[in-house]
Order: sequence, then structure tokens, then C-alpha cells
Amino acid sequence: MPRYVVGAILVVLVIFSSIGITIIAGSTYMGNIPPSKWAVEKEKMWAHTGWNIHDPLMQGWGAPTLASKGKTIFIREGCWWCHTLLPEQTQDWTYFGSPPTAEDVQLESPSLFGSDRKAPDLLHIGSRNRVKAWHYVHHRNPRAVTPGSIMPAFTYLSDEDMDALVAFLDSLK
Amino acid sequence: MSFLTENDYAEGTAAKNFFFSAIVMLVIGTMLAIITSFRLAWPDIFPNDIPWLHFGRVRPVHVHFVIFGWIFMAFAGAMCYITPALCKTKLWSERLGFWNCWAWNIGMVVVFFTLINGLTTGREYQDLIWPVDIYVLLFMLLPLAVNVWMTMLSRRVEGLYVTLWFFGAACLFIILTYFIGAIPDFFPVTGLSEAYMTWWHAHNVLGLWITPVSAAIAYYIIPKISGNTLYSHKIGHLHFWSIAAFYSTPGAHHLMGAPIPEWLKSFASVSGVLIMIPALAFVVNMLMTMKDKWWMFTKNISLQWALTGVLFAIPLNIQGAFQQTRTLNWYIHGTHWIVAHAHLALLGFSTFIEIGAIYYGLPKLLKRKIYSLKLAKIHFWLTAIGFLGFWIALTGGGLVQGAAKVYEIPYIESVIATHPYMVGRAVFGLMIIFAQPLFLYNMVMTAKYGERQESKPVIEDKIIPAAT
Ligand code: HEM
Ligand code: HEM
Repeated sequence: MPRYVVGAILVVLVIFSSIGITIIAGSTYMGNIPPSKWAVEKEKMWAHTGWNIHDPLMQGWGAPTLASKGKTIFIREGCWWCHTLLPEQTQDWTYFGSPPTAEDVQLESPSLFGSDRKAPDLLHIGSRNRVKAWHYVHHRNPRAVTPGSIMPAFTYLSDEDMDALVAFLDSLK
Repeated sequence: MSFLTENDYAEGTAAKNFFFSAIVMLVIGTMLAIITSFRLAWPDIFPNDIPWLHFGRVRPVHVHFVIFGWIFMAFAGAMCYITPALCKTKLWSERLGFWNCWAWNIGMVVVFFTLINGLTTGREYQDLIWPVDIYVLLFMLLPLAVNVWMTMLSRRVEGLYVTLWFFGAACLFIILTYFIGAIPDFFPVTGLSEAYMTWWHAHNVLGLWITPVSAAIAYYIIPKISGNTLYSHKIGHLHFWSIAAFYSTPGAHHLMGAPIPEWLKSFASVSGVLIMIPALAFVVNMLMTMKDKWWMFTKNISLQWALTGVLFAIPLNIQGAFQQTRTLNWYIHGTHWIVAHAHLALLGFSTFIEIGAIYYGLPKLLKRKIYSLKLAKIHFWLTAIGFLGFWIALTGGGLVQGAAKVYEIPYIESVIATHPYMVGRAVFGLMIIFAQPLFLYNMVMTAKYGERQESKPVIEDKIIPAAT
């Protein structure tokens, strides 16, 4: 057999075994973690909110609840490029609340953990700040309520979109 | 297949088209960063009523234009140029390459309009919605892979040089990686498995495509320009196999703070440290190849870019290996430190090598000399100094954020404390942004007015022996 064929076979073997170890082992193991009650509840409330064919413009068409529409807008406007939904396991506890357990994040899609945190974690914002009026003002003009904030002023969002967004934040217990 | 291989396109058409498109994407991609970086420093600097000027909308467009547009197309151009040269044959199909390039440009237009309007999956680096995923796979990645593989099969030499192993394998890796990353868009994969697949994909786009292809390009141009043969093919073997084995596994190190199983984190952390092996093998091989030829470093513009890229690989990989251990990751995860690392990788290491490859390959393809070497030098220094300032600012800002995490001060305090660093990044970033149009201008002028040079046919090649 020519050496390059041997080489090609080896490449394929190595790469598939790597994929095997990581994806198959990792995902099947994680797939078997049962969802918690809260996860089931969240799934009913938010449903799957990434882009899909029934809501091609990400307007929240057909969303089961207002909070679900809000999550769609959260994704559309890219809030998750700054706000994580994952208090870290090592610190953050007093300020942002406890990190989620594996059971808590099952079923969710997309899970929006976020990777670059430039703003407070929001996983428990619904328990931390329940004043809706504050959220409305904050979204239109963040620096009016938090001087020094770098959050964008979402002046272009419609009132309906804003209602949905605040409902989503409120559902983050 | 004959309609693809019938030769009515001049040799080098595909590579030229890819290179020029790539440079245009680099200019657009970095320009978009004016919006993202300024927004983080001065949040009300642009009109707030226009969604297209908002951070959350533009950020993914910036990332996609510099990765999918610039880096990927520069790779495609380099593949269409280097593969035939090393195989001592012609590109299998210039026509396929040409159409591939334009399909790619159309794809970038689609990417722009979907992402800027917020149509996204919400999964980082797999942001594209599934119809676009299918387009990317079928019309962007697959034709390129076919062209590279078919050229390799129709080669007129016995062995395959290191660069070719990387090209051939990386074309397979990127298709597999992209497909696996897109699975949650097509099938009901949710929860932790979904998060894991997302990051497995992100990690392997970097590890099985961007890193090896950048390295493969360096394996070609550094020996070629310096006139030295590759220092060691054995080390090349080590590099190749350890990339495939160790870089394909640690996807979970992007999720060290998430509730994924502990064994998976440990596994990722250990294999992540092992990436030092291919990384150091590569760097050593390249630097040793320069033996006795270091005087060329400042004399040859392509070498200057490419070697600087190689040198950036040293801090990049040391940083990478340590930042993903549990001891350090909790401190810097999610901070600007990571963004600095990401730019060190894609702007420092990868982009510098590709720009070197373009300064070398494009004039050869055009059969002309570089229009202005002076401009090329200015391009280099603006980008290099801009990048260093950018990197220092972000790394510093990241450490401030890390400290703020530990002391759990009110979050807003850390935002205020990092303001000067954001200004620093925006200002140094401007140097980089300003430099790239000079590059485009220089290359356009090269095509039009560059002094003609009788270049030897591309397939003539003495320096690089076709040893395996
Ligand atoms: C020894 C080698 C390397 C290791 C172990 C490593 C490890 C890591 C880790 C753990 C992160 C995520 C950190 C966090 O979010 O907490 C990260 C981020 C990143 N790395 Fe590396 N890295 C290495 C080299 C590279 C190379 C060679 C490239 C590309 C050419 C690269 C590109 C990136 C990018 C773009 C990100 C940002 C991902 C994001 O958006 O969060 N890294 N790296
Ligand atoms: C070829 C050049 C460049 C490449 C390959 C590149 C690549 C990237 C990547 C991969 C990310 C995501 C980082 C992460 O998730 O950790 C990113 C984000 C970003 N880039 Fe660039 N970039 C380039 C040039 C620039 C320039 C010139 C600027 C100007 C200041 C810039 C500003 C930004 C900003 C502000 C972000 C958002 C970071 C955040 O969310 O905190 N980039 N870029």
C-alpha cells in the first residue's frame, strides 16, 4: 500500500477516535443526566428559542409565553455577548447567586452560558431585581440609573419587545 | 467532471481571486471593529436608534468577517497556490476554485445580513442559522476540500511535503468539525450536550483548521524564502500527529465554569496542556529552519510577517496551556484576558503568517514586484505596534476584572475600572484598522503598476524536497 494511503487511514482513525472519546462519551454521558423540575418548568416557559423556520425574523412569533419571546429578543440583540447566564462555580455566589447544577441546564436550547463577561451575570436577575420600572428605564437609558455603565441604550426596541424582554428577565429566578 | 477540469481559466486564477477577496474581507472585518471597540469605550458614541450600529449586532459580524472572510479565504488562496506548487502540477480545477471563491463572497453577504439583523442560533462561533450552515458546508468548504484533495491525487511527485499533510487533513477536519457543531441546529440536542458541542466546534475550528493551516503555510514559505531546507521532517511528523491527537480533544476547557462532568474537565485540561507539544514542535522547526539566515528577517517583508507570526505562537500557546488549568481559569475566564488571547491567536499568530504568505504569493501570481515595499513596512509596523498595545491593554483589563471577581465588589466598579483599558484598546485598534486599507491599496497597485518580473512557473520548485 502506498504510504500516503496508510497516512490517510491513520488520520481518519485518529480523528474519529478523538471525536469518539469527546463527543460520544461526553454527550451521551451528559445526555443521561435527568433534568430537574426547574429545568422542565423553564423548558415549558421558554421553549426552544434560537432561530427556527417558524420565526425566521426572530420576532418571537408563536412563542408560548411572553418570557419565551423575551428570550428570543435577548438572543437577537446579542445581550449574551456581555451578560453571562452562568455564575461561576468558584466565586460569584454572594453577588450573582448559586451556579446552576447540571440538572438545571438540561433541555434548554440555546443555553447562553456566554464566554466574555463584561456585565453582571443574569441567571438569577429575576430574584435579585424585581422592579420592572427600573428595567424599562435601564433598557432605554442605562446611564440614567447606573452611571458609568457601558450597556447600549436600546432606544429602537418597540414597547412590545421591551415588555417581552422584561418578562424574560423576571423569569430568571 | 470534465467541465470542471477543462482549462479555460488561467493558472492561478482561483488563488488570485481568493487572495484579493480575503484582503477586502480583512479591511471590512477590521473596520467593523471600530464599532465594537468604540462602543465598549464610549457607549453613546454612535446613534442609538440604529440597530446595525449596536455592539450586540456588530460583534458577531466582526468575528465572522475576520474568521470566515479573511482567515478562511486567505487559507483557500494559499491552498490553491501552494498545493499545486508542491505537487508539481496544476490546480485540479481553476474553474471550481473560481466559483468557490465567488460562492464564498456571496456567502459572506448572507452572513452579514443574517447576523446584523440578529438572526442567529445563539451559540458562539456556530452563530449561523442552519440554512446558512448548509450553504457553508456545500458551497464554501466542500469545493475547496475537493480541489485540494484532487490536486494532491493528481500530483507528479512521489512523497507529500508536511504542508500537504496539513492541507489534506485540515480539509477533512473542518468539514467534520463544522458538521458536528451544526448538529444541534438540525437535531434536538439540548442542554449540556448542546453547550458542549458548541464549544467542541469552536475549539476545533481553531485547533484543527486555523492552527494547522497557518502552520502549514509557514512550513512552505519559510524554507522557500530563506532558501534553507526544513530543519526536521521528524519534528514535522510529531507536530502533525500530536495536533490530530491532542488538539481535537480539549473542547471542554472552554466550559470550565459550567456544570459539565468533572472528569471531562480534567480530561480537557490535561489534553490542553499536551497541545504544547505540537505548538513547540512547530516553533522549534521554523526557528531552526532560519539558521544562518536570520539577517533576512528584516530584509524580506514576507519573512518578517511570517516569522513574527511564528514568534507570537510562543506566548500564545504558553498562555493557552496555563489559562485552561483550573488553577488559573477561574481567575481569567470571561474577562478581557480571553479576548486578548483570542486576538493573539487570530490576529497575532494566524493573520501575520497569512499576510506574509500573501506578500510572497500574490506578486508571484501577478508576475509583478510588490508596488511599494515601504508601504508594506508601514503596514507591518502599524499592525505590529497596534496589536501589541491592544494586547497589553486587554490583558491588563482582564486582570482587573479578575481581581474584581475575587473581591466581589459591585460589578459596576469593575466596568468603571476597565474604562481606560477599553480606550487603550480602541486607540491601538485604530492603528491596526488604519493599516489594512494600505495593504489592499498596495496589492491593487501591484496588480496594476507593479514592475513586471519574469517569475518562473509556479510548479518549479527546488528548495522544498518532496520528502515525506
Ligand atoms: C496550548 C494551546 C492552547 C490552549 C491550551 C488554549 C486554551 C484556551 C482556553 C482554555 C480558552 C478559553 C478560556 C476561557 O474562556 O476561560 C481559549 C480561548 C481561545 N483560544 Fe486558545 N488555547 C491555545 C492556543 C490557541 C490557538 C493556537 C488558537 C488559535 C489559533 C487559540 C484561539 C483561541 C480563541 C479564539 C479563544 C476565544 C474563545 C472564546 O470566544 O471564548 N488558542 N483558549
Ligand atoms: C484580523 C484581525 C482580527 C481578528 C482575527 C479578530 C478576531 C476576533 C475574535 C475571534 C473575537 C472574539 C473574541 C472572543 O470571543 O473571545 C473578536 C472580538 C472582538 N474584536 Fe477582533 N479581531 C481582529 C481585529 C480587531 C481589531 C483591529 C479590533 C479593534 C479594536 C477588534 C476589536 C474587537 C472587539 C471590540 C471584540 C469584542 C470583544 C468582546 O466581546 O469583549 N478586533 N475579534
